[in-house]
Amino acid sequence: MSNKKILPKINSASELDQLRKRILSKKDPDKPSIAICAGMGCLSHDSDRIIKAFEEEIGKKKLKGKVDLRATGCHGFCEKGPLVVIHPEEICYVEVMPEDVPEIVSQTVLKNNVIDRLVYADPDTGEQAVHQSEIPFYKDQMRHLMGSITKIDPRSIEDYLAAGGYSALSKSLSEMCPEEVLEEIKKATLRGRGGGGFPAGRKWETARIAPGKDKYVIVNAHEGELGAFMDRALFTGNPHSVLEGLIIGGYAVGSKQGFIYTRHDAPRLKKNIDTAIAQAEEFGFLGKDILGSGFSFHVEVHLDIGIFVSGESSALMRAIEGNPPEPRPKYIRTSVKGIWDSPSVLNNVETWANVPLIIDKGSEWYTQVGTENSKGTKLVSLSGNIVNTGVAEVPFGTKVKEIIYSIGGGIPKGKKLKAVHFGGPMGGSIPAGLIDTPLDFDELAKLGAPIGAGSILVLDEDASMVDVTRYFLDFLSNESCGKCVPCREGIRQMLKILNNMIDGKGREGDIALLEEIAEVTGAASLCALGKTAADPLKSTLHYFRDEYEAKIAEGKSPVAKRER
Amino acid sequence: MASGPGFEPRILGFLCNWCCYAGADLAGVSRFQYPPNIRVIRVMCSGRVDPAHIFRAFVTGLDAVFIGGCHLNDCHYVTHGNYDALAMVYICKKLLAHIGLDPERLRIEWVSAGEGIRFASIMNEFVPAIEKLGPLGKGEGLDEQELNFKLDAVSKLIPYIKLVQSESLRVSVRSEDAYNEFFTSKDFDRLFKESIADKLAEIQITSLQKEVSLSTEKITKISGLSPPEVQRHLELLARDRNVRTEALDTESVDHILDKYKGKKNSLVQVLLEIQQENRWLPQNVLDRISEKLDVPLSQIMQIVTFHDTFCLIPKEGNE
Amino acid sequence: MMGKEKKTHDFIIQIDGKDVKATEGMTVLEAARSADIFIPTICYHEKLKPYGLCRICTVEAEFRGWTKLVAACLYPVEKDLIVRTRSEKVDKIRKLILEFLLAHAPNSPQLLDLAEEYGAGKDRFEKESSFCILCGLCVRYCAEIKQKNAVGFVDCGARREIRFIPEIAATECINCKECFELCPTSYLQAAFVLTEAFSHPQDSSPTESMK
Repeated sequence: MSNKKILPKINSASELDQLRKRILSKKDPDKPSIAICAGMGCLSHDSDRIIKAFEEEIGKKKLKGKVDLRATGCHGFCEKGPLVVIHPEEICYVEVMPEDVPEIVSQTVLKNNVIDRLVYADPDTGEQAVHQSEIPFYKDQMRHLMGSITKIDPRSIEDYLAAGGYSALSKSLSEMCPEEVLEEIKKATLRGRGGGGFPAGRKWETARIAPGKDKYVIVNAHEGELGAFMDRALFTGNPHSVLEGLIIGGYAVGSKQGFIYTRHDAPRLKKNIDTAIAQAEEFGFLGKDILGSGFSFHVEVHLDIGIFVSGESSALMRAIEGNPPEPRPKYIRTSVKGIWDSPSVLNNVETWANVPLIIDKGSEWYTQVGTENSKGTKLVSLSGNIVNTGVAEVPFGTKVKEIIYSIGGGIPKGKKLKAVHFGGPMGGSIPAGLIDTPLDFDELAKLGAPIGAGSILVLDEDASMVDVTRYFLDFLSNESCGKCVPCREGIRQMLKILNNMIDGKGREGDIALLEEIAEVTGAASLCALGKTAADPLKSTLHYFRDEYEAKIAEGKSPVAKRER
Repeated sequence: MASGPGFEPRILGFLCNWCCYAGADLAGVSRFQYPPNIRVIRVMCSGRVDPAHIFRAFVTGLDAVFIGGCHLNDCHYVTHGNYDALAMVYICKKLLAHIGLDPERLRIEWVSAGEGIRFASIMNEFVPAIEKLGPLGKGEGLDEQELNFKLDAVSKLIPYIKLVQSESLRVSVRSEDAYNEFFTSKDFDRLFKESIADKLAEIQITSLQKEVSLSTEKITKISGLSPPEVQRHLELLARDRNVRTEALDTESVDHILDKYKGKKNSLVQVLLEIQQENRWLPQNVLDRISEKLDVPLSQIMQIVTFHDTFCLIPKEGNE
Repeated sequence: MMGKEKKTHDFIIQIDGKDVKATEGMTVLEAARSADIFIPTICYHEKLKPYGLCRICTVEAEFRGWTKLVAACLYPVEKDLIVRTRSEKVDKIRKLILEFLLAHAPNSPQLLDLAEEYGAGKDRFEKESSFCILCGLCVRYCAEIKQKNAVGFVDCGARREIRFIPEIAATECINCKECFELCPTSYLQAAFVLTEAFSHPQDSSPTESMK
């Protein structure tokens, strides 16, 4: 529940400390609070009716003020939604229905009794897990970014402050100079989480030293990768974490203006972003002379027109300028010449959310997690033929096998795993034989399956790799801007060949032609979309060539010909 | 439908100077009888005949058109104009069939200067055949208004069709077999549909729109196209700004523009807000935005059609 | 004017083994042209800002041991740059790009000229009905030189097309048409007559006027 009183603007780090102490002192650690997941997955299972049911029940039982109720961001375990977590015990109920609400309130909230039928049970052993951290899906995760979701109402800045929010900003502005902040990010070797994996510190430094009076920092909240839904989960659930990262970034780079570029078709996300910005301005974390440091920073929100290519960094910058989202070749880096030809730093939602963490706890702490070249944790979206779909957060270095079996719960219906696809339409697949590979930017890239933004599509033995490849190309054919020839025509022709193959009209020489087109499209396209459009094809041809050959043979068989 | 008694077909003939015209002349001089229904225009080469000429003949109400040229590979010009005539006739026949007229009303034959008998016998066959078909349109069961409507559409599109022909529908080998193979192939059907038939439908829809209001139902009935097809065409027409749409009161547009303080890069946000309120973007709204934000209309059109987020026509259910 | 022509050549780059003088801010294409080295282009025009969309000017650019494939019309020169305008990879790219475009416009003289050089086949891919190769010369010319924006792009991806804005075309294009000679195919002309066909006064009917 948000505090309706308008507090005066905070003008210094010490005032912030005092405010935080006041908020925390008002919080009773034993006071029960109910966190209902209002993430996309649970909302589609009517979790908003559950929220209303709780509001009604709390009112009926005259518990207002005695129990906290919050509609939070995505808890992550989408497969078992709608999810409800009751604090302080952290009792987690799965697949909740509005009808269960009165019992939850009377039994669990008021009497601490656990309702067995609503508790998670392992599908194989039947073993129950009452607390969220005991559930196998959550047990092996490292929830640095997502851990506080159940404790934060995204529309309440006080919740964020109570969880320690904005202390990193305060530290940066009062104890560190911009170069020191930059240095810390560099030492943490934070790599971009949007798909490029480019060292954020280096990008920031390039922008900082590039000539130009105006500099910009941008949040790429345009999550368009098929099968990726973690940015939305994080940003909708904890918008302030991203905002804080952005402001710190602005400070480090020397920018006074930030942009948030997000999808137009996610109204809840937009509302939460707008609310967060308004609250941050109210409290003085945005605007002139933040926390009395002399640093001023403003944020503007821009919506997209709905096309995947507008998530590409140069296209995104054109869109913010008001132009059509067409990419430009990046021979001159956008960190040197970006929006209106000024140095611009574009980073992904998850990347920005890591920034306050690094500043708060220090780069030494941060680099303890992860592998040699990929530090920190990564949000992944699990989908496809997997028991536990949802958003998970794992440290880099976690074996893919563990993600699929320990966290993901394995393959449903007892089927065998065939392949794991990373990076959506711009990524690649690895066969089941390679799942001992650790989750790592470079290790996966070496296998032709770059991690991308973190979407993990699990495919079982019944999946057709040719169909999956066609699905991705079909998606891209509608999302390419059409500016350059290799991408526009290449995708069109590759899709034609695949469609014919799947319809039984495949011919000898199709595979060679596909490989030729894939090579040219990858080499000569203007932007990353075109350059990686053929990557799923290349990787499936590498590991599953026999499936393509079989499809062609199928079409040439007398049976197929007769059927035609 | 059988023609009424006393129907005398009126036929226009384009005969090439070097062969067919001479052949017809020979027929006349040798007193080989043939019906007088054909009026002849002498052209220097059958390749000179333009689709515009053919359709002007039909627009005037003539019942058939005949083109006579030199035998293939015997054209008196190095450019082999008779092949061009052949290609043109294939396309015009397809157009005729497409608008509901019998393609047999257009005929092309190769007659050399010495083939007077051949010319007469062709005419003796052609005229009765047209008699049987009946008057233009009436013979196929089209009423006059419908026929004129469709002929108008084709006539307007002819400059475009000629360019399509020369770029997309050219046959690389000058042989009768190659021409026949191409013009009877599925490829030709597909290319015809995508580049010509669709545009014809759109021209007809724009003409209809002048007379009736923009209701998909009415257009479906008159044009004979299915509702999704009509919708698709309307969307394309709106994209190309070829169809008039109802105007929206500009006050609400100005109000939204003022909210963003007229900043140029607020274009997308403005469009999204209007789309959300009004469900679709009328043409005059785009004009107003172009004017007030000083952004070229072509750029706004590009952004608005970049993806299917924006609607340029009221969708069924929004009306 | 005199001062502008007197440029100092800042450094030397290598193109196809030749030493070429280049100035800071030049693109590889400009440098090549100044040394009479040919790199094929389709969407490039001296009067317009380079757009880099046909990709046929792709060349190999080697810098400090790293080679990458770049569009010559946009890639900025730098000291010690080594450029190869022909190679197996470059030729492969150009051949396929030409074949892609020939599927649209098999009779474009410009394309056919280049096709011969790279062995590109007209019939490699199924014929497409749209004979625009989307080089954008018309759009950019009207935007940058004439500043009328009478013609623009619509739609995206494989459905992209050029279209005239009927209201502007009706008043501006009649006396201009300067873009027509830039078009490698005749699609620009076709788009123009199409616009005319649609915006022909709705009241004029050829059949009516015959009566």
